[in-house]
Amino acid sequence: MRIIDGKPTTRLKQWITGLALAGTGMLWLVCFLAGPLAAIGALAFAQRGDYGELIWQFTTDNFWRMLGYTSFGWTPDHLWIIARSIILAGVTTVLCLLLGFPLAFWVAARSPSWRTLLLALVMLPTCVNLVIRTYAWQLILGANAPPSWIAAWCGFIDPGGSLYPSSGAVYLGMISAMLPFAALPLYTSVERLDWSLVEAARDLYAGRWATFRHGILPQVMPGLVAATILTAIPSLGMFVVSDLLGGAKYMLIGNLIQQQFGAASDWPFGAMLGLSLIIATLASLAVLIRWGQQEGAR
Amino acid sequence: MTTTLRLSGLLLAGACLFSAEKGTVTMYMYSEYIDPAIAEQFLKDTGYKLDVQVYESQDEMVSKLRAGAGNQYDVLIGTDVIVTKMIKLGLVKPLDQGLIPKAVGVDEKFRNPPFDPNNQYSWPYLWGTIGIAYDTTKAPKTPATWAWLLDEKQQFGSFVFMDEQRSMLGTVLVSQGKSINSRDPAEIKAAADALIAAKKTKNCVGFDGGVGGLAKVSGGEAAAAVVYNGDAARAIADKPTIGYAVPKEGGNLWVDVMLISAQAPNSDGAHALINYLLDPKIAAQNTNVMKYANGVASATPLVEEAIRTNVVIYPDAETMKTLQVMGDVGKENRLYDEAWTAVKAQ
Repeated sequence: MRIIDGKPTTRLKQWITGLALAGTGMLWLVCFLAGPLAAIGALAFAQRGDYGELIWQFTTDNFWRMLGYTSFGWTPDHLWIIARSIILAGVTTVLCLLLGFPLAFWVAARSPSWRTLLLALVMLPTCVNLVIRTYAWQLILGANAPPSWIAAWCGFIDPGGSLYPSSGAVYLGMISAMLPFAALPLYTSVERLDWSLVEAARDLYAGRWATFRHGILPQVMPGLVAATILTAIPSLGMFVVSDLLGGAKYMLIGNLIQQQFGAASDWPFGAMLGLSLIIATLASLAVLIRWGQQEGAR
Repeated sequence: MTTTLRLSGLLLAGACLFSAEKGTVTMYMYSEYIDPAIAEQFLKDTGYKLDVQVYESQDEMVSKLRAGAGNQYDVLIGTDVIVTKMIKLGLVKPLDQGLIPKAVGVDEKFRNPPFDPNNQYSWPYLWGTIGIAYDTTKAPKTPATWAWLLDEKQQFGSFVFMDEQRSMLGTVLVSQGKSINSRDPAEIKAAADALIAAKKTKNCVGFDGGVGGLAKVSGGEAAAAVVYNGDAARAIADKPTIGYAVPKEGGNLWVDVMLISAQAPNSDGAHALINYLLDPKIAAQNTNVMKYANGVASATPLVEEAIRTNVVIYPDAETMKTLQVMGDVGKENRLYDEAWTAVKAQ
């Protein structure tokens, strides 16, 4: 017999209360997270039949194929695709953080009523479907619109040409898609900033960089980590933007996975790619969160 | 006045009851791929209500059917290459030919196709070609050739490839004098290498679906694109400076066929719909609106003359000889997939 909140209770009663409270949530996680993950894990080591049917015979072939051992011998194709996806996600994240920081400071410095309006404006584009927004960029960057005329007049592109498909267009599309997810967590951190620490740093003759490094950065670390996670992970799997604005010339990991479940109907190989992406993402997430905690605690 | 209203209400209720009696036939196909007027005619002539459900790609259809959605659809529209797979995976069932008397009108060309011997499972719906749509003000006046895209010296402007692995690698194989259904790794690799070389030229602006590539030609973002003929025919009607041709080396003849889902809830209605769409009058009407040729020989004289004589839609006999039909390549599918990945990775 124990006493909790002044009432006597038993371990069994505690279990029942706990299950009643957390049970539905746990059931949800088992059905829609653990279950599908286990299925993907099993599928990743299965085989494809001649017509795309599943053959439940254990093989590590999918793993080696992912590393580049194909029917044509070893090729770096898959590694290129993975590297390209990581670079795109990384550059997008860095650019979103660089743009998101000034935006967050600027919004936080407005009067409260302005802040609400400005935050609503930052979020507004996410009310429109991503695919539609990306098609809109196609129209804006197309050959029959002013941006292309101006670029051609300045000599950046051929007369009559268009600004898309190009890697510049892809990054423009990626940033416009991901910036709200970087700006909002940064804003919540910046808004609660304790400016007395900044003043203290100044009093101690800290320069601009040292003030930022020791007075501001540790305080906004939770927001920075959240912004990085919210930007980097979706960017890693996103391929709509690169397909529509980059001309689908180069494949990303998302394309490769989709191709396996679509045109190639090789579900086991697709599952292996998906599983590896999930594991790599979780691993880097753990590293990032641990680093953020150390940095924030300093 | 009120009496008339009541009467029409009763009639309406009666009509609903009547149609409910015979049930609904659900057809699963690409969007905007049937003359919408046909639904009403079908209801009037047969008593079945037609419900059209659309898919984005046939791979999406197969994935859905494999995941167990077969009992939601009666008639399925699938292209040649995917039909073998659907048959092997047991997603479709053999047709009861006694219920499809109108099949007698089907053109000899489309009978007994390699992907469905003896038409046990399918009858043709619409068919067409894959070729090059181009800006006639920039293209040379010589006959179209795949070298317009594949040979840097013969390129005349920016161009778009079709973002479909089998179709694109297949047409390049044809351009190299090989079979569109090649199972030889060396041949498939050679086709991929040709695509990679062309993709690396500055004129290549990427890959897109047939409609997307065509939009880039109409919008001036590209001078040429690999597209489907019917889409090209509709674009040419809007903008006469666009041309379309099957290159002289040949191309792909694709056939979209009608199949019945293995778990079709309304099997009788499904047969009735296939029979109805094979009626020469209905097939001709559909071709007039969709600008794609149909597989019913006796329907051709009923098609509008402007469409019947348009070589974009009804290729001449000379071109027909150069066209190849795609079939499933089974285990070698993986070769195509890996070759395509190489094209997109390098």
